[in-house]
Amino acid sequence: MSINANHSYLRFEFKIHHVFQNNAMHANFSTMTASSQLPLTLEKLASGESASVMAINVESELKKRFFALGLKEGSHVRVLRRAKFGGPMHLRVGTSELILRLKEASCICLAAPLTSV
Amino acid sequence: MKRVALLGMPNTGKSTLFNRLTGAHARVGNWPGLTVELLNARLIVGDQVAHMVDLPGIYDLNGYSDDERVVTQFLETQPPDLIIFVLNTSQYERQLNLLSQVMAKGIPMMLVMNMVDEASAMGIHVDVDALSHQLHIPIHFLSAKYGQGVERLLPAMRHMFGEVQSEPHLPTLAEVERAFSESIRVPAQASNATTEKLDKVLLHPVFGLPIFFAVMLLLFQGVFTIGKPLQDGATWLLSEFRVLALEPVFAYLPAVVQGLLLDGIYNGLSTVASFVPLIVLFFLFMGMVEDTGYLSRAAFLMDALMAKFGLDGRSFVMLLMGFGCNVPALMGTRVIRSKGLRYLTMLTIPFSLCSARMQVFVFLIAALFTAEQAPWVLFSLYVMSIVMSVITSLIFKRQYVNNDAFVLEMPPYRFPTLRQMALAGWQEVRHFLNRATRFIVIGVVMIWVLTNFPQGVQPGSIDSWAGQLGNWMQPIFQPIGINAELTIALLFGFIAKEIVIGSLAVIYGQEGAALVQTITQHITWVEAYSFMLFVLIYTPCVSTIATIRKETKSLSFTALSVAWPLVAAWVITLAFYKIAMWAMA
Repeated sequence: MSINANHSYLRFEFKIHHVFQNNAMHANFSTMTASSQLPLTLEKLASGESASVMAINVESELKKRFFALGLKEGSHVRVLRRAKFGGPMHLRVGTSELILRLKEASCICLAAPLTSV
Repeated sequence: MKRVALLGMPNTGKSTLFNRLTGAHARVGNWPGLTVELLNARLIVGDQVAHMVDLPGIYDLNGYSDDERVVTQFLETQPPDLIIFVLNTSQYERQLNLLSQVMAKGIPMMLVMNMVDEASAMGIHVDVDALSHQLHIPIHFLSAKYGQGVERLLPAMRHMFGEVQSEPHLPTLAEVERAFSESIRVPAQASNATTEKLDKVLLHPVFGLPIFFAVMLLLFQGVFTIGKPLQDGATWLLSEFRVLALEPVFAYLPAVVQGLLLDGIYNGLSTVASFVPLIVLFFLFMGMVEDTGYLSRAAFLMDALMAKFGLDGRSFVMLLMGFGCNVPALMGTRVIRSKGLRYLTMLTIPFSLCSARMQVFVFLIAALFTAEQAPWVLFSLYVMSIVMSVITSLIFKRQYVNNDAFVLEMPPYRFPTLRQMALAGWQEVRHFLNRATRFIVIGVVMIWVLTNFPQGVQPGSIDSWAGQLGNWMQPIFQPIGINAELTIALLFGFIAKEIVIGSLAVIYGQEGAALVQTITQHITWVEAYSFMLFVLIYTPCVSTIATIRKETKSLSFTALSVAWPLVAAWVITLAFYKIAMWAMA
């Protein structure tokens, strides 16, 4: 897994904690964090890596939009590329493609990643 | 009259289908929210006339963006007799939730599984009969773009109008999903190979942005290289028409009427009309870029930079669209859910150098600069347009804070057919004719009256009403290098920028080559550039103001969107003029 190769990793650590504090699902994640430090979130994936979505911690309106673009719990995402200078990520979910900012990507928790293709 | 509504997500080809069925000219684009006004047209279905509405593409019936609200309201207040739900077949999965939401409304429905061409290329197979049987609705598998299968829709609609509606079937999302998964076969590795290859180049981490700017430059270069000779040809034709046909015919009319018709309306309109070929070409090229889906890529490439200005990738695309016309760009901001971001984007869009302003610049630049200087002068104005948008967003980003998420669909690259391009070109001609009759004729007639009265004055002289008005405004415009004649053009340019060149023709009482000659004698290049700067920055047209008012329903915001550009125009033009005069002295 190429987490360490990812420059934005440290920067977003703070935000993840922040999300957790405000989240009703706090309990679920804290058990998981205990076993594997931090849960894997989407913005940490490098391009070419893929994983399946475990939880989406955003307000319900945005969740609907994600859903309509194919991004939901259980769906399989692949990072096609990441824009320069902390710009958005380009993802493929099923047969659809979408882009989203790292801020939103950091709210999407993933199950263990599959190796890059 | 039966009413039929087209409904579906963005990028499903709804508008293409609408155009196919009605022969009307809804604009089709690979961009969410593009069907911004409720487009509608009459449609002959068998022996009846039906009214067809193209609803904006939405993601969720219970969403809170403005376009989603428009659709929900439409379905509640004026439920149609039939909904044609358009689905992009190759991405059916994520559209099923919207489908089941719409089915739950209990309105008679027909399902169109569109883009059979793309789906077949990806190896997707649909058992239409089985699916139709399970969902209890008629289903048509077709390609709106190439017309394949569209001919079956009208008879099917006629059949539905004729039959007594049975109790509507209201399946749950799970039932809809099951029905689909049982009747569709998607290969494990379904992807669009062309799109992947193109994106490798066009979204390249290093070359992506340079390629984008090169494409835009090429587009503009192409417009002028092909368009300039066309424009010159049109100017010549229109002058010849006046001399050979109009002057002999009108020779018997009283001098005042002749003056109004020829020097007023004809000179004004023909000067504007000579730009039509250039404008059509411009929109054709812009439309091609829009249809391909490259704009979503532009949003991806520019988002990080736009974030620094409090904007996002979508704002950038709207600014680009504004280079065509500011009005649809302003309406396109409906897809933005954050009020702060939407307002900030709306404040910056009017600085986009729209095609109407481009005409003024092309005209004046051709008159006052050499052929070698011309492209650079025009380019400097485009740069200034972007600089103004940036300055505006930097100043106002604290008032209008963006708290919207940035998530955007990336459609596969699609290439417009010749038919779609011809439709888009025709659309622009119609748009011009529409504006010509609404604003330009009225504007040039008013200017003709102002420059030719009170009776007996030398037209356009200091004694005419226009001269007096211009003189009275001189304390404001003289310091920035804009003379009395140009002030009149500016005042009327407030209505629409096309009037500016039309009014120059009327004020100087000339058209074509003679007009250019006169202008060179009357103003220096510094004055011309000051004038162009002011034209670029101040309010684009009343349509823009009306649109901002309609979209925001806020009088104070509308006032700000008029006042800020006016102040900025004056200050920046003053700075330019003073510096230029000082440098030349």
